[in-house]
Amino acid sequence: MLEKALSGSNRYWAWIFFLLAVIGIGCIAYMKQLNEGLGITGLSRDVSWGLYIGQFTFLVGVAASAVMLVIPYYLHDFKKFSKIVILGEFLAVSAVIMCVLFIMADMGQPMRVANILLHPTPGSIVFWDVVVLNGYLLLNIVIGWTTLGADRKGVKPPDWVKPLIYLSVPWAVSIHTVTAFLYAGIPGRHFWLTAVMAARFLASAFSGGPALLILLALLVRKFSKFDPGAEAIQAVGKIVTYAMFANVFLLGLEFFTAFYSNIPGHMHPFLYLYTGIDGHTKLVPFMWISSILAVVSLAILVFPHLRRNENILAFACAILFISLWIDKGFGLIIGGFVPNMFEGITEYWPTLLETLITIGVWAMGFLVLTVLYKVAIAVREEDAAVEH
Amino acid sequence: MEQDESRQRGMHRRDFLRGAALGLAGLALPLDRADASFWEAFFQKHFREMNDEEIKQVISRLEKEYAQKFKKQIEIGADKPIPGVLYGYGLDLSRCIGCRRCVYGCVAENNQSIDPQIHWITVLRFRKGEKWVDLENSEKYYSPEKVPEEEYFYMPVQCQQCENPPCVRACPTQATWKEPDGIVVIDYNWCIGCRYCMAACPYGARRFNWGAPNRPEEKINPKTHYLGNRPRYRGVVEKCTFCIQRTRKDPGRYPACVEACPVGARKFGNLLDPNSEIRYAIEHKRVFRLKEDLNTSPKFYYFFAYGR
Repeated sequence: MLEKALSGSNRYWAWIFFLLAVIGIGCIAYMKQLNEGLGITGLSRDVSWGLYIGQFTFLVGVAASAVMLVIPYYLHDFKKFSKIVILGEFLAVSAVIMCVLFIMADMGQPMRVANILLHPTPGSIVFWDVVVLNGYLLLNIVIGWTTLGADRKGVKPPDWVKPLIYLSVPWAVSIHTVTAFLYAGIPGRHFWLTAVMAARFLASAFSGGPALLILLALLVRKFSKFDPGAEAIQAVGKIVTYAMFANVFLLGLEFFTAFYSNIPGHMHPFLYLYTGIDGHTKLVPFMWISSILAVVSLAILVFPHLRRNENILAFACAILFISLWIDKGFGLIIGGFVPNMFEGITEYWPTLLETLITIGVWAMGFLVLTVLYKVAIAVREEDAAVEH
Repeated sequence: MEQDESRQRGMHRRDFLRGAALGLAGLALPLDRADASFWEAFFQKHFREMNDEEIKQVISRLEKEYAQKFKKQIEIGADKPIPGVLYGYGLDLSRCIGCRRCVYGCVAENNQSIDPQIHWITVLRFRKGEKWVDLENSEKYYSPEKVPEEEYFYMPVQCQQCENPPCVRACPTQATWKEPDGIVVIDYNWCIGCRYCMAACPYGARRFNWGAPNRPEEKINPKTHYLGNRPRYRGVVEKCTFCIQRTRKDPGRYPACVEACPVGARKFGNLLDPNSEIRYAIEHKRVFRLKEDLNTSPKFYYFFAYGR
């Protein structure tokens, strides 16, 4: 089926080459990091994780969100998702690939990463994260490819895929739960030491991921003959809305605990992020942009008649996605490190090279996504031609 | 010095040309290197899985590498823990004058990078007469004309050598672990540089080599331990090891920070020996440990022996 990605319009090839160019720039930047070390980033002794790990965390959420389509379609037989579900599965594949690349980018000694598997360490959450992420990648490739292949031949997917599909449901939850445990089990970092971390991760994943999916589905419809279905898009819109309310609610719980308990260690990261401490205010504008976008997107999404207008829906999804990207892809990680263990403040800001590497990884993800979607769309367009 | 630099630059150029020639094919793998030490290093086993013979081989390889790199003989020890010893540290806050001699004594002994600068000890300054050890209002970057200052007291912080270390739990490759004598060590040839241990340490005690460590050859301390002060690499984590290269010798030496302290604020000894200085301090002074509530159980005890 992969050959279908090799024929396309000029616009398709222009997009592919654009992505390749961006990846190339990212690779050059990464070579510099490989030669000089992670000192080329804005990271420091106090803020030892930053943009890379933030993006990784955010994208695990995007990957997990495929389950929001799998559950209705395969568990509740919600037929309207029959066409869009493949888009979710392939989005998950590209998101997990980006996760792996971001982890690699963050390693001080990337040549040695195999040590994680050479020395399985069940006590370390990172070990489990590697296991569940790679498992999830494999599951989605197998499921997506097999169901699409069956579709192409106009037959039902083979029976052996069913158990894998059911397995992918708890597995999707596991990838984001384990990723939350990376943070939520660390003593001494108050901002992360919260039992609702995993729940918040899932809520933000199930709103941010499907929001991206809506945008992608609208793009697919615009640029191809494949229609994922207006009703399907509306149904996903509903999921986005509920999950985003849950996410904002959970964030509110964090604020309550921090400020009602009045414990300095709990309050300080929030104060740093939303008001700044002692004139250190680098992240403040971004956190407020994130908050405002979250509120505006909810104010739009909560009204069904606004949501039904696809342009308005797309706008709401776009700002919701940006809001969560700032909150989870950036604020959540930095907030855990500022103030530091002795209440000192060291601020962090990514460097140009770090940003180029990050953009390069995103481009790689979009390249994988484009190729997979191209195949899926080509198969579906064939189907549509046969049916009519 | 200048000549040195220009020679280096010349070498860089040659390296660059050779690199460019191999460029695309070779990528980052130094396939052109005549010696096999790169691959030996790549396939080196985990330290705790090597037998004495294998450890010896690794050490002789590393000694050769270091000799090449630093133009001097560096001796790498692998002294094992002494049975019946559990190291403990005491710090008398009533004596500490905040002079940071411990910080620099440590750097001289343990071969930390000078640029980028790495210190294993951080000295915090607190204002007297306000609160007890109040981390929120501590300062790290104080620089008065003279110490001690009348209105301040000081608290040096370094790896607390926890009995229940969160950093070890976090490590995905077992590159860091607690030895039987209580010292938490790192194998710099096994660490992947993920920095999860740094996120996990509640004492901010771990340092990462953001760039290639840089230290003039003449300042390299040639007496080292595999798990301690031997020269490190770019992209790995390091930290205080209670000067494992000194303290594991029999007869041993005090850690460099203990020796460097001009006022005798630092105490060190065997927690299992009822007659040790550290046991005396624990039993007769009112000691406390940092962030006791986190159940990390440090083997680093602070106390005020006297006065204000």
